[in-house]
Amino acid sequence: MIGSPVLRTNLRSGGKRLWAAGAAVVISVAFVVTALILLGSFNRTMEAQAVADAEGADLVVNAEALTWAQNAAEEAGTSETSSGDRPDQQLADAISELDAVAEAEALSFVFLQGESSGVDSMLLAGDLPETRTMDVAEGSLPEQDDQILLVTDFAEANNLGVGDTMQVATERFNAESGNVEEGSAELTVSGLASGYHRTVSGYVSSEGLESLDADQTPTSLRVAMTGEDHGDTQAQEELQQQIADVVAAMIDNGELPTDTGSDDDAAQIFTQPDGSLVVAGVDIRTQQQIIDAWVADLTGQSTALLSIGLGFGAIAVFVASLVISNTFQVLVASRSRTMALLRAVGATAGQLRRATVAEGALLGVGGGVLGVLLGWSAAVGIATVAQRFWLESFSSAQLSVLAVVTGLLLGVAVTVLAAVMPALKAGRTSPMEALRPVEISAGPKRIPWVRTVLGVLLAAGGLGGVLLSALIHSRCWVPQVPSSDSLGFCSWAGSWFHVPLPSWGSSLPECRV
Amino acid sequence: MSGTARVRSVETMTTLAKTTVQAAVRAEALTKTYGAGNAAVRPLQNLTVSFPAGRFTAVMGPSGSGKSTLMHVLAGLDTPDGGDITLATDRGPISLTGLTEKQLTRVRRDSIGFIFQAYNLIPAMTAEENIVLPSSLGGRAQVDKTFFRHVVDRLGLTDRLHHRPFELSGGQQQRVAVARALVARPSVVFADEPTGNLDQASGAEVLDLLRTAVDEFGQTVIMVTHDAAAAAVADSTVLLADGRVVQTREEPSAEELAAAMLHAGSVVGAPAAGQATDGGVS
Repeated sequence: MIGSPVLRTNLRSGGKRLWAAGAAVVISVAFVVTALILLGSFNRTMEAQAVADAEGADLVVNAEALTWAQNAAEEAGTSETSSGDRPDQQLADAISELDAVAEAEALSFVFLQGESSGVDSMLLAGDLPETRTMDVAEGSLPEQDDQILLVTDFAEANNLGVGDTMQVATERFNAESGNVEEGSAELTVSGLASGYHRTVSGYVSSEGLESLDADQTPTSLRVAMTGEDHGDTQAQEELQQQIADVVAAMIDNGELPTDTGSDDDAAQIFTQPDGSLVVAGVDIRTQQQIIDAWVADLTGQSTALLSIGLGFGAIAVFVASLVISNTFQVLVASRSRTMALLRAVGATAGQLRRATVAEGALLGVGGGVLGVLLGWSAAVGIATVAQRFWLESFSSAQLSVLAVVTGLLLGVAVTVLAAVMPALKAGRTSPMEALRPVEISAGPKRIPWVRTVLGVLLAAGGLGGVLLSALIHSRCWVPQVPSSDSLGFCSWAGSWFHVPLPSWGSSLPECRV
Repeated sequence: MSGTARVRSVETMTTLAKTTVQAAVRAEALTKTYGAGNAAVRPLQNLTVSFPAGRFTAVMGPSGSGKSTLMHVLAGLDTPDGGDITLATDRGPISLTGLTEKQLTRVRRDSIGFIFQAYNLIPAMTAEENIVLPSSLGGRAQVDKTFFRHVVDRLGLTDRLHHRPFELSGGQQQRVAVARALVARPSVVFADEPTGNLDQASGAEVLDLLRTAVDEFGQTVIMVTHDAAAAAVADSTVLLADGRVVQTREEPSAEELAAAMLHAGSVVGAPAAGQATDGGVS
């Protein structure tokens, strides 16, 4: 098909007009490719963070269900356990008894309202986990009850350093009076912890957490195994079963609260699709399972991100298809005499149709390749900016097979589809038109400078908007949030809002070819 | 193929009889009607004509005589409402009636050469690409290199092969168009007012080339024209009026033809004035 004289003619005479359509393809493909590559970076970042957070624990037991069950039981007045006992603590003690277990710790956090530097900031402070090796960037672990190890990101966002003190307000719900009692405390920053911390922004010792006059919210139990079993998947799965049995036995004996009350099946052990075990709402996961679960949890958010990205991508693609279709219609119209001549001297209608579609396909391949390269470059740039201004551990942009294949397929699909109608029109050209006495047209046409300059300016403006918003948003929004993930997404969405602009900017002036 | 051409050429030049030559194109009882009722136009009314192979035949007629429609129909660009057209090709006779559009296109590509009034070259192609265009569209095997060189050399285009049409003069463009029609060695070359857009010198040159195509390459050429001087270059002239053949003249002079045209015009009752200089597309 490349050798077809019709296609060759088309490509030579298409020239300048094809550049405009090509640019539309490049930009829309680049847009989608950037979105896909950044999504990959995002997911790798999430995965790395989940791995870092799960490190040191062979199994993680979700204790939230126990707390809800106990609260429900207390409200219903059917509590068999005294309210002073924490069920997750009891479970941790029971698990510790198992042979393979080196340590089982029940973690919880308290909610604190900070008042540092005149900026209100929320602070979730948790138990210092003994099963996780803290990467202390500066200072030391909290040894006194009033010391706190802050997560570096939080400390930087609030201008706190080692040795600084922070006034925090605490709240405790008094079940008897039904009132919330407010208190306060002064904490000294003992050190800064680098790396990713999933739930909390700071750590205090268990004693320190007790001494704070605040409600503790149990989160999970981290279980570390002994000796050679530590980190061994098979051993983890065996222990997982044992722990499930322990939970089931304790529920049967009434040692743990359940939501289901006196239901006989309350202590039944279920296996979930990912291999994790559930007893009465208590999830028991091995290290890999908990990593996968966290990643899936976070990816749910990035799926929303993807929808936004692809939504704008779809708009860019739609606009591109209009531009391309318009370009091809104009091309076919301007070539009607040449087409008629070709028909007269022996080109079949099918040859003219195929040549027009092939012209589109070539444009799609070329635009797709350039679009993938441009999208890749943009993703690398954005990832670099993200690492610098938002999240140091943000994973670098890597070109993925998915992004390349999607980009190329999209480029070809859009151009071929946009070329179909004009191609049908080209095929309908009557050879008789070649006989009309009309002067041959002059040489190449003049380049429409004004339009070109305008298009470039608009494109540059749009691109500038992208970078500006990426910079501004990543700087201003994120630091105010303790656990920066969710709003961090917004800054990305914010920057992506601007991305369609270059495509509109460069394509709109071309609509009136 | 080249053998046949040479034989024809020799035959044409030696016998000079030009009488009992095999027909290249034969049309029988052609009818064509546009529109209906009182507004109906009948450019072809039971027209029967035969064009001998290896000869240069001119088709003349006043405006509305049906000469352009006849050419379109004979060349497979248009289809008649009734009648039969037989084209003698090097693969045997082909009846154009009843062929599909695609089959007609193939016939045009493989067996028919065109020379149009408006040069009609592809602007995006070089002269050489324009010349080999019908072959490069598929079908026929590679262009005979020797014949290509011969034609190009004879037409004085050797130095112009890599030029684009807009870099050529009108006469040069028309020579490229002639070369395109000849190089593929079609069964018949149709020329539609080939001198219409040219000055007198260039027009005479093109007529000379068509003459050469017949005499040297044994090509069959059918030329539609309103110009009596141009028609006088042909071996014979078919005069049309009102969709029918009025008469066929062998080697007429320009003056005879001009007179015959006036006569043909008065026969159909069309206004006499302006017919001889009429623009020609009927």
